Amino acid sequence: MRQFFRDKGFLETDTPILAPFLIPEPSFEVFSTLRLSDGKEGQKLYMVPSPELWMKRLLASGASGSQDIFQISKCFRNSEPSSGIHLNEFTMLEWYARGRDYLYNTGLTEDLVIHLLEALGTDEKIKCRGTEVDLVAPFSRISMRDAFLQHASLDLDKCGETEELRKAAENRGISTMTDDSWEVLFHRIFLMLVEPGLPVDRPVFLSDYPARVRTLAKQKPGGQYAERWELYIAGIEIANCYTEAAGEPWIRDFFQEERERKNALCRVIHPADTELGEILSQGKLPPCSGTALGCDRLLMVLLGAENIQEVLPFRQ
Amino acid sequence: MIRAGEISKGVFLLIKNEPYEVVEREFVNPGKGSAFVRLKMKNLRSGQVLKQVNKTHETLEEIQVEDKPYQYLYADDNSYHFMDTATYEQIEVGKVGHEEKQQYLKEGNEYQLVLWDADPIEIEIPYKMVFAVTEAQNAIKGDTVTGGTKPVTLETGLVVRVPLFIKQGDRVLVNTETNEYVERVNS
Repeated sequence: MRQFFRDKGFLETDTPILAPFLIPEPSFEVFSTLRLSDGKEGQKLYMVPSPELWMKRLLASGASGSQDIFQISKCFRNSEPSSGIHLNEFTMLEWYARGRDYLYNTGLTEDLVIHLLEALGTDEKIKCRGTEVDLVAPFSRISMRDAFLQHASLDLDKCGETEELRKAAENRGISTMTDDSWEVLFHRIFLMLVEPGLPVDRPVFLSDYPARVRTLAKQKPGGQYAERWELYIAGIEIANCYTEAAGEPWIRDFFQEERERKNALCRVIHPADTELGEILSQGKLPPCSGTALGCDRLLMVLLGAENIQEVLPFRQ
Repeated sequence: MIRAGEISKGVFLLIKNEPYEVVEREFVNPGKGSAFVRLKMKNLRSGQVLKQVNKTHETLEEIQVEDKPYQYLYADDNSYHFMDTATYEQIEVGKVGHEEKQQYLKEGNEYQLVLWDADPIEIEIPYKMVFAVTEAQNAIKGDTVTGGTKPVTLETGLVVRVPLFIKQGDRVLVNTETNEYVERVNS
């Protein structure tokens, strides 16, 4: 994996595991710890759930020059379910390609998977969790709008209003709650009808998420969708990529909203990295596309393991 | 009430006034969005399967149930009949939704029934059970094609694969979750 990125001229970075603040992400819990100072309890520190906050700082500060950067590091998420595909401590590969967009990274990710297959000496036809997958490039590519049309017979372009989406969900037998936001309704339909319908016999890049599913991805022209994809192999999410948003005033609000949701929903609360919010909204991050890839999950798939624990030297 | 994120397999829920047992639970965290759980549940009255997606922070109505031992007596066309051995009171569990349980019910054996408002909604089958073999063919010498196993029929009608040395009349311990043979039981 390292060789692959070095050969492409990427600079390897090594950033801190402990951070005094994090990007607020309400969808998972983090680990916290205490630094002792003179034997007394000092500052609270948090174990990073991804190296994103540091790597974006490196790019914005100019410390990495004009080079693309990559990192393979331990990341931590608390309270993860014992599902066979989640870990509390896992290895993440994250890279940023400068001057590139999310489509460039689909090709790079394909090349990486094929490179790893060759390095492992594994056949392109693999079997994972009872599913046979053909890893021959090019992988499938489908936009979220097309996936909804195919598997839910629903045109997202025509469901801009929350009530329209609620009706669409209920017409399809999906129960909803009165306080469901557009994003929650979208996910209910996605998880009930669309994701289970995605092909599993080959890898799939699912792209162009609705912009209302808020992330730090750049919005496409028109503002309805975002330049983002997720790679699924054997039905498992392996990687997530954006064309990175920068210089947009909504980024500041995004950090604020996510912080509020985090504080309302999560048990471990942490200071939000508002400094990064400022850096991004002021456009100090050079144009780039970033990808985060779960190494343990990819290894699991390539080796045909049934449970992610099988690819670890010590069980968690 | 129970938070969807705290629901595990085997939890009983009340949805639209129907009792359900959670048979599968999967956490899904679609990228950077909210966290969800995908639930697969069995309606304990109709046997119908219901799939549903909930936010992990949503609350659902959990049914307060009670486990109580009953002796299994017999089955008729529609129901399984059990008896409380302390009071001799009899209780029926409808077969609908519990059809597959019949192959683990042995007359005179004790089972835990799950009661909801004194209404039996589920029969708990022990993880491992001993059964008598009622039909077994004798092993054919040199038969290694089937990996040294053969199918036999047990006293309740359940068919399992066992090693070739098992004979009719033997008693065998079976894993009831996988229907796999565990060992031969003496006496």
